[in-house]
Amino acid sequence: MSDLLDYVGDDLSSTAIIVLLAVLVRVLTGLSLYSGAGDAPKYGDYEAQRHWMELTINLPVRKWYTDSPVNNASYWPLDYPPLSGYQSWLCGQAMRAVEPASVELVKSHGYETPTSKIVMRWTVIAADLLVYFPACLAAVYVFYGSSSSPSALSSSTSGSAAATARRARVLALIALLFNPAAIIIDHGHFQYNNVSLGLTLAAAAAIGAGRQLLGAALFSLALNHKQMALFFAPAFFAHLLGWALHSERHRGVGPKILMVSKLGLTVIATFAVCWAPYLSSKEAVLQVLTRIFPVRRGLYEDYVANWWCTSSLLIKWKAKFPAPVLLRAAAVTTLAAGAPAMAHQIMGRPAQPIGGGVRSPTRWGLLRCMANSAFAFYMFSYQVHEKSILLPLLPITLLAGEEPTLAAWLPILAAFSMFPLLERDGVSLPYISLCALYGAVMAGPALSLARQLHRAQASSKARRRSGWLKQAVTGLSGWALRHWVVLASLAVAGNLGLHAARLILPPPERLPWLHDRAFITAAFGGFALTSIYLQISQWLEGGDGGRGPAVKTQRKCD
Amino acid sequence: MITNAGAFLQLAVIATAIKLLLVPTYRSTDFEVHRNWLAITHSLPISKWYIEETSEWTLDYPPFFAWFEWVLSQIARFVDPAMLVVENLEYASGRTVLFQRLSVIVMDAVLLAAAYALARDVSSDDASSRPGGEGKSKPKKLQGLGLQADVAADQTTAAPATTSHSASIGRGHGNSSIRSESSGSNMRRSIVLFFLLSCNAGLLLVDHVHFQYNGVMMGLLLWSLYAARSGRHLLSGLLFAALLNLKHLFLYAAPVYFVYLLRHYCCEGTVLGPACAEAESGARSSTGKGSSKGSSSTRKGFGLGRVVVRLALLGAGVLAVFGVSFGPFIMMQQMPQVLRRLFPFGRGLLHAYWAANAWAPYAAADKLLAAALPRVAPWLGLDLEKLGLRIEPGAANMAGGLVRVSRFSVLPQVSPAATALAVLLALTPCLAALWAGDGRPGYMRRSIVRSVSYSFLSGFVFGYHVHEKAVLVALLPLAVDAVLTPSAARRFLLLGTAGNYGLLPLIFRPQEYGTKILLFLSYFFVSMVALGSIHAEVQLGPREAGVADDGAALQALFSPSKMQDGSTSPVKSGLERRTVKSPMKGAAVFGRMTKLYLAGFLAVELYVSIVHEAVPALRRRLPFVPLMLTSVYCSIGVLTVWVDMATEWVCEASLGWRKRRKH
Repeated sequence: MSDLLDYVGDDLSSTAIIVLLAVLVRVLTGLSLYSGAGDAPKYGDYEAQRHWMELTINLPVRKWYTDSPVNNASYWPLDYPPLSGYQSWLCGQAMRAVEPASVELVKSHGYETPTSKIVMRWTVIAADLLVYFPACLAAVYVFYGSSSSPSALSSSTSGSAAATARRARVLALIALLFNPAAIIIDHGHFQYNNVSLGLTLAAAAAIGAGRQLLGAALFSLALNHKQMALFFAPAFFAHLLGWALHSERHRGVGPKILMVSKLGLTVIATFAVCWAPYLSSKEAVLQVLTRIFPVRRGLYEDYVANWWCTSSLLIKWKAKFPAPVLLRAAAVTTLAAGAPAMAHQIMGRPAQPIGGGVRSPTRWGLLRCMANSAFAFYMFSYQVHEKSILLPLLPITLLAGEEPTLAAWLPILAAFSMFPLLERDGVSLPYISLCALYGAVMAGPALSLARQLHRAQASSKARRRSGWLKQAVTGLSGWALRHWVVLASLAVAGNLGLHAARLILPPPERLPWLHDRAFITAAFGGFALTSIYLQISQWLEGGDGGRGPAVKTQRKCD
Repeated sequence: MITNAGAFLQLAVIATAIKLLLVPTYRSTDFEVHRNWLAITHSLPISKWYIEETSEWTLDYPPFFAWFEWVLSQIARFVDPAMLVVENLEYASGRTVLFQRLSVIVMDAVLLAAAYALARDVSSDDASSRPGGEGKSKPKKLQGLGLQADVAADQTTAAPATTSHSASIGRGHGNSSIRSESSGSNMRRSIVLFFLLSCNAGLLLVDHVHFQYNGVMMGLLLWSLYAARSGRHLLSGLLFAALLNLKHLFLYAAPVYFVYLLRHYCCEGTVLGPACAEAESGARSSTGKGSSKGSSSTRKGFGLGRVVVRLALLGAGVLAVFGVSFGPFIMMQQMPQVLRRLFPFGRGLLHAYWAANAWAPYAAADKLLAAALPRVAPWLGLDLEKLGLRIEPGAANMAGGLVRVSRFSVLPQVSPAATALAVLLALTPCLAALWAGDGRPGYMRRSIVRSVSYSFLSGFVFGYHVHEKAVLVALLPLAVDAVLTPSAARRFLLLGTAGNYGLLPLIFRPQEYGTKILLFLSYFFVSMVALGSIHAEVQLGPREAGVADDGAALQALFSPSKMQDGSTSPVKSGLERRTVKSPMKGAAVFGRMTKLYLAGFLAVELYVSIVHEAVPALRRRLPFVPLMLTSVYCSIGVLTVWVDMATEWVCEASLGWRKRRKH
């Protein structure tokens, strides 16, 4: 097999080019429309972000979260944690410098001029450049090592271990930087998910590099930028706890307690810094909290490819049960779905070969746990957006060197699951081209890497010590990889078929939501399979020096 | 050899995806021009095509392009019939825009396919030139000055030694055979070529932002060049004739095609078909008297008859193509009208925005003189009136934002005839060299692309009323050579940078600023690194390229002399001294200067888009400076490349003719 990535090295200039192209793709995506463009009076997420800039630079910090005539709770109130507010303030300053009218208090509602749109778009790209890109580079460096082989741009050594490592590195970087779902939401639809995702990624990288306290602080920052980062909280909590309990560095009860409290203090201190302006009174804090966690919204929004929304076709959850019951049910199921992965992290891993007690969980385990807990939240928690799929995607794209095929198609499926939203935003064209781009770049290399990893797996370690589960998964993944081309073509054909049906056939009178339903049901199938596979792989992970099993599950077949 | 098309397919998808993302961007008036042509060809009879003038954008492309629009309009009918109404000026519904944009994207398949064909061709080409290959032709790596022929021979003999040596110190990478190494590097060559042709930033901006159909026509040109390289001369000639009937801009290469076909199709060899170019040898044709018919008739008695047959065949083919195109208009006696449309006189030497050619510095100098002379003359005691110069007071004022010159005020005027003469003069050495050959087989295969590129470049540099976009026509063919020889790679990068940068002012809205700059930068960096990686390999031997870091690769590209300073390890520097035996001293006229020049673009861009915009006094008093600075600065690069190529042709021509005389 020859593909483009054979000719892409992981040295400085190749990485620079990849980053440059990533910026290019973002700029090009930004040429399209955005959420709520020209859609008075409420507009969309673009207006929400602009409105926050308007609020934050015109009002004192203490008034940001307080209802007032100029800060109306019904017109895009600031409902993200303070760090988002600070970031809005920064971006607002940039907007004011370029076009003062664009952030004038109240008068600027629905302000959409070409120049202000350019500045808005560039603030997102700047956030990428300042937070997300560095985090990606750091995470790839930590998890896949530095570019050891100097064989920059030199091919034909495929097969050797160095080439596999290089390919894994490049693949992970590309997956992180060109994830179509993330690009289209941030740069097409318009949001700043890249900040909180970037901070989370940086936290994972810090922990992976052995800087757990820094990781805890960074993750707290992520939480303070967007409460959605809570999806990852169980993973970080469990991993850090497991580390504090089992690391060789702190033996005995005293050091363990000390470590746990150090972690706790770091988190509290970070939160305190972020919340400093509101800590003077309890009311202020509560005011912010009620804005951030609006329980009054429903179980899910629009069409989400999660459990509640998909199964509501059969069981009308919202109609049958009162909101508090659903809230509790959601909490319980989420916890239950996230618990196994958490337990795995807290328990640590058995030291090998025999005896010697328990060692701290691996960084790869952290990534899998992040994916699992994010999926648990996406599938079962209360008030989930379709955009929340970006969260499970983050650890999965970083896992691209370990789970290449999964990382190759899940982002596309995620974009697919959001298509009803994207179509409304008028970003169907970027959707098509970003998915095609990602698929074209990733599919071939991912498959060949997956086959390589699988071969290595099957030949060396699996023989020696492996339970029935591992053997079953290895066998299944081997089967899937052998028939990969067929499976993938079937899935792509299914997706295209749904798109074609949506384009050509008008839905029946009585079922106007038929197409949206079809989309999310198909996506849900894929997500559920992935989630089950990830749960299993979490428990298979960890014996062999941090290299997880190189397998993948079956692809969703529509 | 290429075993599968994976990487090409990937690149094609990437290019198409980028084009799709460009759909919502700015559209120039050319969008309306083409919509109008759709309407004209669809709703009017042929007799009205070149007469209709409801819109100011009348049909001024040759008939094949009109037919092309007619074909498109047959599909457009189903998309939005309103766009096909001639009176619907400035009509641009969402569906219309999407249809027109998609038509450009889909038609680019011609370009992609041609790029693929050429990429495969280049790879097979080089494999055979390797020492272990069939050895049916000499290496094409170095086709620079005639002097380099010896160097090239040197290098090929040195290559195996280098490869084996470096492979043994290959740091446990596995001792793969030289053969697979060379096929690997050939594969890289083809992929780089495919990238250079299919993702050209300038072409993306002109076709998919500004809106034109250059991709199709470039594709046809590349197909024609591919046919020429693979020895199918008649096909190549006919494709070119068809191309001329799509867009007459390609006329500049007609002399080269004429000589090429006459010499290598009509008066050449004995067998028809692909072996034709290979069969050429100096011995056969050199004893000829130099007249068209004598050269090949010396050896074989029936040669003359064959020449006549081929000439007739070629003439008939070309006439048929032109007949199909212009025949109906001749029948309707509309030819004068059609020609008036195709060659509108009185448009002036320079386009509104000066193309980066020889006339840009000329016009700039005229402006400066016009501004300076009235002030300086009294000091020098000159009387301008006596010298016959009358400078109108407003001449140096140039208050308009557009740099528009209808008449030069100090320097002599340049007439269309003078520019035509200049172009022909510039082409002479190239034509002479083509006729003479270099006495080695496969000359045409090696030279056709370079000569066509050179003729377009000459047309661009000296032509009358040249559009800045015309530089692409010279640039793209150059890519074929760029992956084969380091000197061509340098030229390609320089011309690409200067030419593409000169296109940027076309897209002037702030909305697309990031797009155009990033597209330009990405293409520049990727092609620089890619070409650097290829040619580092050529110099150091395949294995060494891996060890040398990228900086060295780039260095190798820009300043070959520096490689010998040996800042690297002793083992490596020893190797380098052996292999980098001045393989391209002749062409390495730049190096540090080129780098300086390229860095200068940063300064130009800073001035144009930041300093000039930020200082109101500059904007008020010198509104023309950004455009003038851009075109003059770009023209330096373009002219450097032209001088470089022209010198090469002069040397080659003199060498070729000397050889002929010797025989």
